[in-house]
Amino acid sequence: MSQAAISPHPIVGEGRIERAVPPLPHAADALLSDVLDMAGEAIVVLDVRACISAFSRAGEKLFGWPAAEALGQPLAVLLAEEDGMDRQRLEKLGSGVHVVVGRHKAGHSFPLTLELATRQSPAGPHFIAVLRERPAQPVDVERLARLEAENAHLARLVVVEAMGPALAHELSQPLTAAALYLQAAETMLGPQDAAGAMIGKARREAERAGRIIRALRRFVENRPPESVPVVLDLLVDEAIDLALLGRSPRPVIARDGAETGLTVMADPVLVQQIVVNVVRNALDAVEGLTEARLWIATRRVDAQVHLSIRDSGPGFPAAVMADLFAPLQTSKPGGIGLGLVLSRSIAEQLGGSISVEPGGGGMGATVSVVLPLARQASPKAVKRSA
Amino acid sequence: MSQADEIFVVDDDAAVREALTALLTMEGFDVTCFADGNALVTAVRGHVPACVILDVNIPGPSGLDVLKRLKADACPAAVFAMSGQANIPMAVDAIRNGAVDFFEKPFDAGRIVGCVREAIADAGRHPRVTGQLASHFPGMELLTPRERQVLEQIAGGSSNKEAGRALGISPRTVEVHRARIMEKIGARNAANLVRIVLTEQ
Repeated sequence: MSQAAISPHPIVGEGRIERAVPPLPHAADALLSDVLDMAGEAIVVLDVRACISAFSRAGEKLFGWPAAEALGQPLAVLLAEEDGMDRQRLEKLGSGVHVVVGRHKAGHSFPLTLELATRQSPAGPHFIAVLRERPAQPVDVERLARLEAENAHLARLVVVEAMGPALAHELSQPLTAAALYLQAAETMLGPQDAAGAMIGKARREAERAGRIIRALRRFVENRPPESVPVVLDLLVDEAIDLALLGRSPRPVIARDGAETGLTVMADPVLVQQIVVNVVRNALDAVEGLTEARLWIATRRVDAQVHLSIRDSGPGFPAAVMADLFAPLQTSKPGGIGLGLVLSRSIAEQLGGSISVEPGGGGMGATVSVVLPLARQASPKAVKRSA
Repeated sequence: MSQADEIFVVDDDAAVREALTALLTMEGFDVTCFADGNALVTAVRGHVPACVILDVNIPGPSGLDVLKRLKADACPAAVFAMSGQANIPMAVDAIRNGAVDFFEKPFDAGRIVGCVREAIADAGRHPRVTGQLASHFPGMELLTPRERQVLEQIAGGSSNKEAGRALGISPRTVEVHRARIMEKIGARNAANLVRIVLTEQ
């Protein structure tokens, strides 16, 4: 082939030829083909299906494909398999320079940069790809390892994100059934029965799991959380009890401000999740220390409520601080690294924030959760919610 | 009452059907279960129960379609809708189509019996939900003109996004208005809100 080839029928739409769009006139065809061939780089013009509709001479050389054979093939034939580049993937990548792995017709692969330009047409986006061979680089083992780790992270995050709603939905039916059966058993045994009382507790726990799932579903679907007036200190006390479950020995907890009765507008389940997360972190920090103490205080600052949780632990090392709010980063054995990330995200959704003072040098860490104070509700609403 | 009140339960999940039957039978109701909406609609034409508990996500016609058919037949039963994939427009739709209340699964088992009893006791006494905002509802005078516009959108079944588009504000802002409206009217949730404002007192 001496000239860049251009497909005579620009294909528009899915598997059909749009007659309304006439093929390029011959002169324009020839001109485009000349222009493509003058370029020193492999240039590939793609139709809306991400199939090759024009292929430059440099491309023939780089990939070993004669242009005539390349036309109509998906872009993916030029790339190594793991880069299965279909239209959706291209749309996701969007314009810009991307690093990919190319594949020669003979089978060997080589590193490439893929510069992508997108052009909108009534039938959807068209792509023009400029492909350049990347000079072989000295292998930076550390960088590779880091990239690999980041990749694994990202993959896990995607899984968590995808799993959330499905999991919430799958769990909701059996949980509903379990709570109903427990309620039936509780009624059957009556309030005087010791087993009945225990079943009642089990029912309330199943219902609590249900509320967590509903809150989780709202969270992953990015639905705004429920917003009702919540007495923060009651919630904090409950959260402390929850966080302490199964812990022994228990640290000394100094509680300050519990009488203030500050009310925030928030989703009670979400706020409780935040407090449980932060208190658990603090408990982990002081575990095994002879001087194990927590200071938990709530106070009002202007139109906000500040909840601070300080511990007598060693504080956060600088290395941990840097990644503190990054998802799936954890310094704890067995930790998933979502606690603080979720907590911050929840706090921000509620119009608040979370900040961390690292401590260190004999000082424990302090985590502060800030939430907006409930506006003075109308007298009517107060009466109703009382 | 000499004869037990009848309840029809529609859910495609056998465990939920059985568990609801166990609980409601224990509470003295006469329970019949259906796995899909068509079976229910046919049964209701035969005779009318005191109450229907209806899952929205069922095979065949959806729970909302079933609700519409019951409404078209002027069925006097108190209908509760429930869903494991609930969202606000779905809840609002259910209330607009005559449901007494909407439960997001997993719901609190402790609440359902009380709700059912109350609805059966109230049946026929309360005026039905209409298609438009009532001429008066509690908290009405506390709403700003903007909040009233937002309320009209919500009660009309719009999502936050649709309401935002109609009013030229962001969905987030709609959400803030909704929270304030609920606070002023004293509504428990969106379904409850719509029921309050669409019910002629």
